[in-house]
Amino acid sequence: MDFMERLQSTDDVLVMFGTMQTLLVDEYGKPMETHLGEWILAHPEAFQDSLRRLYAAGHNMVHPGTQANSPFRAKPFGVQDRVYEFNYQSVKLAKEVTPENCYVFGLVSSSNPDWLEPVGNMTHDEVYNGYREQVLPMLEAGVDGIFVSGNHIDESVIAIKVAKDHSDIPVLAATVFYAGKKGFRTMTGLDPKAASAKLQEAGADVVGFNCGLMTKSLDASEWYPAATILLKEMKQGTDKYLFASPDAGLAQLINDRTVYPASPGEMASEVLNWVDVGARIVGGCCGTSLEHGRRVSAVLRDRKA
Amino acid sequence: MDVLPAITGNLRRGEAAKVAELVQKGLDDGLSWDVILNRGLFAGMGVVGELFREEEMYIPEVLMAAKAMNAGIKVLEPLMAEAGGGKKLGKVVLGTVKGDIHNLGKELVGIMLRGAGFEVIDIGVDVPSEKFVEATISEKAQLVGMSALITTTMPYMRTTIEALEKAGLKGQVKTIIGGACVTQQYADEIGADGYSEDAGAAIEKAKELLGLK
Repeated sequence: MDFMERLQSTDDVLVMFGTMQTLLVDEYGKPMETHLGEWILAHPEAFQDSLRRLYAAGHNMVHPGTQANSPFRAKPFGVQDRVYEFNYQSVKLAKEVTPENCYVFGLVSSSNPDWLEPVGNMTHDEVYNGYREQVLPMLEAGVDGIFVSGNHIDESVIAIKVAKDHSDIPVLAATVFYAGKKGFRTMTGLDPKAASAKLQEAGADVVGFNCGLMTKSLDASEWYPAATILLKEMKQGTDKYLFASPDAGLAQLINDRTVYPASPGEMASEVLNWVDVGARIVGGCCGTSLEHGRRVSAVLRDRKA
Repeated sequence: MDVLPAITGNLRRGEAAKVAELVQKGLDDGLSWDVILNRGLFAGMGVVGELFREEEMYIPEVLMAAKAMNAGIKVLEPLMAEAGGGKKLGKVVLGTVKGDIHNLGKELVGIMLRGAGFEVIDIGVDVPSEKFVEATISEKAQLVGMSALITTTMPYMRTTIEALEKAGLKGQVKTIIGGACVTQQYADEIGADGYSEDAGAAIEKAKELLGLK
């Protein structure tokens, strides 16, 4: 079923897998230093195997690891000439193993290490053209939607416009919030209501938050409930479908191992609260494992039963 | 003398061209370059740092204020060079460790330290330990600051500290680390001399480490 039709004519809540790079590093031998797009194209079987496992675990939305496939992110690795190929092939490979009722959304992310001015030195046109270089091959490869994410909401607005200027496919737009003295704010100082309104105004079909929270003061048990609060605040600025995708807590390095404190069980306990607020797509960013997705999709299945 | 508050106010608002103009006016009015630098530009940046810590200013505004500060410094540069560069609190080498391309946090620390009177040499992102050592030696830096956003790259902080020790720099150079997942505990574990939770706190910590407080 077509993605927007799925949202409009059913009450299904979709589960997105958000940590492609981590999965490929932890379980398929991708070196951290290698460019993600380059690695995926060099290891298509591993990539497709990972996607099959995601779908088997209950996820029904994936992004095929395209976040580094912008000219901005490809340049430090010296692979900017392969941007078209990276985006086209990653989507193509993902679509080949994607079941009928699942969706591939091409991820377009922050432009760092340089940024849109004034955070960096890039002009609006440079950022627009760079994102277009990513989006066009994704469209040609038959992507189901574009997933705009990243730390700089003004860049996200540009990415949404690129998608909408060149197609009618759905756009999911998420931004990153930090928990500070005044509450949740984006890097640019917007509160959740203003941020969600901005994303809707730019043309997003689904609006939400990704990653972040990024605070050392929240206990692991408070983490997912904080995401519920954030979602409620975002809802005040938008009437679009909502998307919730927090990190699994703030990462700690303990004995040289990365530990994310917020567990699959804790995520599964909170997810129906996100659905109550209006989330139709749920997922997790940094630290969110296959097991988180498995537990969450089980809760969502039981809800339907 | 009222050009000084105009400089700090325009710096805070990120008005680079106006700050450059006002700095020139200050010189034309007979103010010395170091008064303009310290009581105009650095004073303005100090206010920005405070506002940033209080969450009244956000990253894009801080970066614009820094551009305004640099525009003002550019006007003063010929005079500063003539006078031998002016007294700096110390020299700091700043970089994001190997494997990590995140730069914003590091940039903010650089801005804050510059604004407080340190000389900052930013050696970029994805910096291997050898490059940290090379830069520290060639620049004769007193402080090395390392940034990492993610846990997977944090171990390179330990590698770099070990490389600095191996190069015989222990005791000559202090190290300070920071990043979203970095903690005081981690700093203690890897033998870093200091840890700063954000760019604002970095100024005080840097001064403390160099015995300037």
